[in-house]
Amino acid sequence: MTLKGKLFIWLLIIITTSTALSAIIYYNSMNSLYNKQIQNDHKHDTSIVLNHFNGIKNNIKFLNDDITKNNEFIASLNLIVNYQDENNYDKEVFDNEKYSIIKKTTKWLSTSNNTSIAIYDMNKDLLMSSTRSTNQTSVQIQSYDQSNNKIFLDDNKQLIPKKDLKILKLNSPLNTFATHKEDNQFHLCYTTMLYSLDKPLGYLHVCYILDEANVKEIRKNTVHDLVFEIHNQQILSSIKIIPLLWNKIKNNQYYIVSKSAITENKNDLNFYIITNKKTMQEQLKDTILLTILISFSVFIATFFVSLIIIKKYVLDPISYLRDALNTIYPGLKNKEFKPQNTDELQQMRHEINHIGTNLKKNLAFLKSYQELMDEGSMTSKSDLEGQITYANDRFLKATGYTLEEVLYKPHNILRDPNTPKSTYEKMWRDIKEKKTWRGILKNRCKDGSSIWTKTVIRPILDEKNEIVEYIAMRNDITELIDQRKELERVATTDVLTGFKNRYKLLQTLKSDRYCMLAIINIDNFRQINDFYGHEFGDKVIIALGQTIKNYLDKTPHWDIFHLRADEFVMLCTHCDDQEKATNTISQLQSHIRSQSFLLDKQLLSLRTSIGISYEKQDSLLMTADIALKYAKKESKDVVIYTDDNPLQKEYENNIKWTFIIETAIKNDKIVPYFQPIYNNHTNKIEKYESLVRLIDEEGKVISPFFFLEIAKQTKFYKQITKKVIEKSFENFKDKPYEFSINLSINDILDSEIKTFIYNMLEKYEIGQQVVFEIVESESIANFDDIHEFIQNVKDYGCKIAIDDFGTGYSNFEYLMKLNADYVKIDGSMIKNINVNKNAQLVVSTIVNFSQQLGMQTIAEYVEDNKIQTIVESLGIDYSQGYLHGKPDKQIQ
Amino acid sequence: MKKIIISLLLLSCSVLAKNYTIGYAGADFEKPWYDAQYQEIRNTVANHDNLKLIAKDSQGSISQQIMNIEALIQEKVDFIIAPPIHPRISSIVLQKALKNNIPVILISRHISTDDYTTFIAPNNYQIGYDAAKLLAQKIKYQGKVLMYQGVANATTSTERENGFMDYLKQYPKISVTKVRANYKKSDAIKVTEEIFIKQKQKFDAIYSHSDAMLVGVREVMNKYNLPIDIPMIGIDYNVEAKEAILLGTQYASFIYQTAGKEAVEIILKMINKQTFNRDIELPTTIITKENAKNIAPIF
Repeated sequence: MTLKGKLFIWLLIIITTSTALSAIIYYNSMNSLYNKQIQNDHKHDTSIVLNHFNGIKNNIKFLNDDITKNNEFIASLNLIVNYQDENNYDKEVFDNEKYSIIKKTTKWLSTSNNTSIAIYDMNKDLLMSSTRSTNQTSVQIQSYDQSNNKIFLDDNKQLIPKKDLKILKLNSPLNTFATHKEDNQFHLCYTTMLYSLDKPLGYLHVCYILDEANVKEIRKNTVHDLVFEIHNQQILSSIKIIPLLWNKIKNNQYYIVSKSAITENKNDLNFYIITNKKTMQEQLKDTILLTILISFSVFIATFFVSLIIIKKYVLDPISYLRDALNTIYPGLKNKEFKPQNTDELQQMRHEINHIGTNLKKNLAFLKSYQELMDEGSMTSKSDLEGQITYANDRFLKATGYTLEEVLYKPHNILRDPNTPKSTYEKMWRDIKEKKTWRGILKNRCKDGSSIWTKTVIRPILDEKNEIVEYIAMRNDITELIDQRKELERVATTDVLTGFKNRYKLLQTLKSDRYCMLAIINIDNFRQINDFYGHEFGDKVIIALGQTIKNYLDKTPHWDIFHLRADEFVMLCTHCDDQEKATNTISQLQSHIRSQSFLLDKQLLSLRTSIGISYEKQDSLLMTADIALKYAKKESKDVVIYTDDNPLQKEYENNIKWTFIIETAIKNDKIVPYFQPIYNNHTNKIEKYESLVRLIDEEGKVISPFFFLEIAKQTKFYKQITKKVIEKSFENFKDKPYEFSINLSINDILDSEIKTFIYNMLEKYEIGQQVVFEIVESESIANFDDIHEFIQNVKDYGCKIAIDDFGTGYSNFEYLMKLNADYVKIDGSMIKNINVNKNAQLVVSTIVNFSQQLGMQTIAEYVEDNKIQTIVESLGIDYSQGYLHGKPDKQIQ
Repeated sequence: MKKIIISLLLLSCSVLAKNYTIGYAGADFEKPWYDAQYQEIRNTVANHDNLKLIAKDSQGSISQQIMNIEALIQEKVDFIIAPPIHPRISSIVLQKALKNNIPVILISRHISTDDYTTFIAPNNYQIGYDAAKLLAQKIKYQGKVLMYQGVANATTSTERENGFMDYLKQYPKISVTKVRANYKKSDAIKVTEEIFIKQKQKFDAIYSHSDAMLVGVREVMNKYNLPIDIPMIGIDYNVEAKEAILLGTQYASFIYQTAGKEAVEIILKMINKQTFNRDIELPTTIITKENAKNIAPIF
């Protein structure tokens, strides 16, 4: 799997798991968290409410202080309390004074909503009151009507009906907060005594009015709902609660309730923070849903952001790294190395490890290589202008320069003046084209001597593939060159005569231009060798060569080569006059014949034959050789080659047949024909002889007579033999006949053919059917090899027949040595057996001899019944000939 | 001779040995006339080493003046000087003073009972009467007169009104419109704007219970570029009244003495056990363009 795929899956698993775990943990912790939160909320709300009421209490006390310390107020009250006469009520003065007080109280109340100020006389009867609620002020002012009856007026000096009058009698403790209920309002009041000049004047009664609207206003600052309870009876709440159910709610397990007291008297005014658990659970549910939604969103966002980040900061860099790695990878990767089938990182790790290992090896190799190079090679570097920028010790040692002497000097200080300019031009052209130049240069040393170096120069390229320097490595091959020259000299010089040899001749013919070639050969040189010995023969050759040299040195344009044994070649470079050249050679011939050679006290005359050719250069040697052979054959002194030379015709015939054979092999037209062999005892065809035939391009069947001898001189002979063997095996693999294949002694001695035969026997496993007919047209030099072959094939069940027995080299000794199974009596004796008594006698002897050795006999050339009758009478076991069947491609 | 010197020294010692505290329950120090009254008492007391003054301002409030008097009683001052704001209610607290053996010297204003030791003031009724006579003559006994009243229930105000109205009873062609401005310039400005600017009423003459209120009237006239061509008569004769009379924008003023100096002098008589009248009427003078130049204003 790719890294991207793995990361995708892992990312998916990690984020999903962590999100799910977070959600579960979150869910589990939410309850306790919510309970804690509610407790904290209750504390918070309690604090808010208490602070609110502390503020109110302080405000009331401040108000009390303000009022009691206000001289004008006290003066007015003093006037009203002490100077008012109910029976003689001065309305203008006292009402005005009371309204003046009310005006002041209104001013005091202007900043305190839901507050009332009331003033009572010493009898705790109301003198006046002012109440500010919901931004409206209502007043009650004690006055007297014209009949001196006590009345109460409003702020417009209008009479207040008795039913609308509020509390007229004070009933509150002094100097403490106390509460009472009025209509649907709770009054939190503080009452103090008023004094004028240390004399009590009356009572100041300041109240904070708590109504439903006020409760809701407080509720805005709290988290949970509020319930105010007065005297453990009535309630005011921020939510609708049926008063009768309030006591049940307080103790209900589905509600969380926190109680606190506002007044010192704990039964006076309390408030409760209440939370419905059901609401809490709904909130929890909403929160969890929201959490799931957020988690999912976070999951999606995290997932995609992670993907983007991973792609940008992991995958892309890895990809770039991979690309970078790939650029260096090919050069450092073993061909057989295959990264494990894992992700990119693992693959890269394997690759880097692999590269690292190879790099270490390479570095070690490079280090060794460099050391080796420095030790073994002359290394130098040059800049783009060819100035030397580096040279190693080997370089300096070989050239004799010091480093200071070569640094920033042009490389041409090493240039040998004899080296063609074109060599350097090509070198510069190549290396400037960023190619590597290789060559052998002759370099001049500091002392003027020269050294030969095998030089490799290549440009050093930077990352932009631009040439920055050139590096040259030279190996001193001076010794090698000298050796080569010597070798060349040795290779091209005949050891015996000191003349240039055949090799040099062939080289010369390839390069230089010559117009005439003559080959001289000592007639019957073999006899000299045989008679005087080879050592003497060598001296003869040396003497002949020297004679030729001495003679031709007199005339220019001649090169002399020792071709082989007693043959010398004379090459003429100047052929303006062929006749003159021919004459020179003829005269040389005469000169040699006229010479008497005194060698080892033996006086010797030499007869030589010469073949001359003026043909094209590439055929000079061959044609001169033909001319020489012709001269030898025809016993002529000098023969000049011409196109109508009879030997040439023969060669042409050979060439033609060689071509036909090659074509036939190429087109699989070498085929075996099968001639039946008749059992004279059973009167049945029991065997066949495989005979090679060539089908030419016109489909004509060619007898081996025409091509086999020629083929033996070519490389195609082995292929013909193999074809016949293979196709014979193929034909007889499922036939009930024995079949014989002709092999020459050379075939048996050839390891390639021998191996092929063994393979065929292994493959077809029909050794019992196979008879190898050994043609004994050649003498057998090494019986051991032949015997080994016969033994091997007999192990496969094969049989051996001696072919053409009675002629050539075959004799009775052969029969015994070859351990043959069959003796094939040569046809030349059979075909005349009916007329030639001697032939009949020889055949009878062979048959008898064979029978005694336990061999069976086969008569060839049985062409008619007469011969067959004699053959049978002689006890020959098998007959083969036209009487029993011609060779045919089909087995009858 | 030696006996005479010793007796004088003893007398002096006896006199000097006792210090007397005078409690002054002022009506309203913000009002220039009452301030002048206070300054006069203070200056007079300052001339006598054995006298000490405790002055309390009532800011025009009857309740405050009662508180002040109660306080002075509590502080056990030796004498109380007061211009009582309310003739009946003030009498109650003054009665308490007398019960505490504190002599009560009423100045400029009276009370409705006899609960006082002495009363010193010009004749407010006569001033009102004389003012009506002067103004009726000026408008040739016919026309509309606007009256700026002083503090309600104050005897000064009541008597100045009564005297004025009593004289005009014989001239039915003269009608009087009353507006209350409590002796104050600020109240007079409000009232004048209401009458002259908003209601665009026109009058042939103005009678004011104090010159301070006429100052407010003239400010409004000047503010709205109204011609000050009707005769105006004020009471008190302050600096502004003198200037206006000389300029011709006020017809006349009545000197109304503060009685402060006289009150202290009466106290000195009491200390010295000298005889004095219980009710002392202070003289007044009509100030017009003819004599204004030579008579210094009261405050």
